[in-house]
Amino acid sequence: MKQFDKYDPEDIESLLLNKQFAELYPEEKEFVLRHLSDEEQYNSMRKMLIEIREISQSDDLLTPDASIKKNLMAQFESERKGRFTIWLNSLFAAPDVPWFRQSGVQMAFGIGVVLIGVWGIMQWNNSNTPAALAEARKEENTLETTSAPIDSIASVENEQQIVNVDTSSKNVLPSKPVVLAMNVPLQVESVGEDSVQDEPAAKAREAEVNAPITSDDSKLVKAESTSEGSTFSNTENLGAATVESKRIMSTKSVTSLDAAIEAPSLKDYKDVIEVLFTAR
Amino acid sequence: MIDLKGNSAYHKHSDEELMGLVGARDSKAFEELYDRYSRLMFNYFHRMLWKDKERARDFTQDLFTKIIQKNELYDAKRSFKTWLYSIAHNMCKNEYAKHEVRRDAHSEIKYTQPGIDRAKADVEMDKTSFKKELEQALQVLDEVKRTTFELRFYQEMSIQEISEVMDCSEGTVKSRLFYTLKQLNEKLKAFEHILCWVLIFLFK
Repeated sequence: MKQFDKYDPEDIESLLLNKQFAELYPEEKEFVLRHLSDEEQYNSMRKMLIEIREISQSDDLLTPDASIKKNLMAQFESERKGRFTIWLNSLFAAPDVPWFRQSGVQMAFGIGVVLIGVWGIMQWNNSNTPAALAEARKEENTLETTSAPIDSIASVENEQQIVNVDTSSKNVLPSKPVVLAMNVPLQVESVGEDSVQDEPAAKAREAEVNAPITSDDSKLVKAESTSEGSTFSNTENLGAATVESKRIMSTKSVTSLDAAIEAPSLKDYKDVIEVLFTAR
Repeated sequence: MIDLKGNSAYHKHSDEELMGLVGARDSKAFEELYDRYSRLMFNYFHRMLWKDKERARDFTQDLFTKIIQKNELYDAKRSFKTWLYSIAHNMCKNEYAKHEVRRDAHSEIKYTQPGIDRAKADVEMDKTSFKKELEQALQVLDEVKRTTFELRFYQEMSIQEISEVMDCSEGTVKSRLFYTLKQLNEKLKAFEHILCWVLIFLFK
């Protein structure tokens, strides 16, 4: 391959722009003369090309009307809105499709079902929370309290407060177990460490029960002692159970009534029942 | 994703990025593209369509309307500039085809008119500068050569860009350019000779 074969017509353009014919290397001249007839044609083309370059670079660009831009921007905005309308139509107004088969309606139905399901689950969870249960029990106890013969215990101060304390705690002393316990034969053996079989302990407990008590407890005990029959009323049961619970807890070095109520065990219930029977 | 805060941020992005935003219906991106190319395209149409400003105005508007309506046809791997010019080139080609039909009809009428004063027309040409001579010589060229010349010397595009716009090989573009220059040179030389004779005749 000859050396000038590397040139192509575009290279003539650069040669024309940059070199006079006399400045060309022999191989460049050879290449140029393959495409152009002679030096005169080369110089003529060179002159023309330089003038074209000058003209094109000095040519002032015309500026289009501002109205074109304004029209186009308005068109762009309308096109954007138009697309949104088309999208909405595809969801809710597809032609020749019944309303219940429109994709938008189907999507809305699906979303609605999911939302209702989520709401239902949330409601169910709320009804099972400790707070909701406590609230329900509080309402229940309030109803029971109001149905009790409150005249007999009207003189008791702070009884409602005690009842409130008991019922608002998580471990409310239920009235029913106490009543049921009244019908159950006394099982002193099952009491455990505080068993009444232990005679000195029983005596001590009796003395403890008979010991003078202060504050609200005395009034509750008084109310308890004025009740007739073999069963206590609900309020009496609750009041007595509270007193006894407090007393038992105090014997176990539990200083706070709230603390005692917060952590009673089955054994404590048994203690309460036992003491109630003993007192009776 | 491009984060754009305020109008100034749009200046920093490439044409291709802006075109992506136009696809996402970002009006400011479209405005930026318009600002970058509207003058170039208006002048391209003006030069390619017989220096007709009204026509150039309409074509510029049509071109950008196509961008709004058919932006999904843009291939992000391709240069936006060459894509834009190829649309403009096709628009001009269509217009040439229409114009050809009109010109044929017009020519038939013209040839029936008696007494066209050729000498007067030559004298008018005498007063034109090289620029005008060149313009006239360009008008005589066929559409392909004229477009190649226009893109190369007035739009200052590279050979590669021209080949993309005109959908042909780079070698073909080089060849077309060379033969266009040669043809122009011959026409202008002939034109110079005619002018010389006209001038001699006038000042005799």
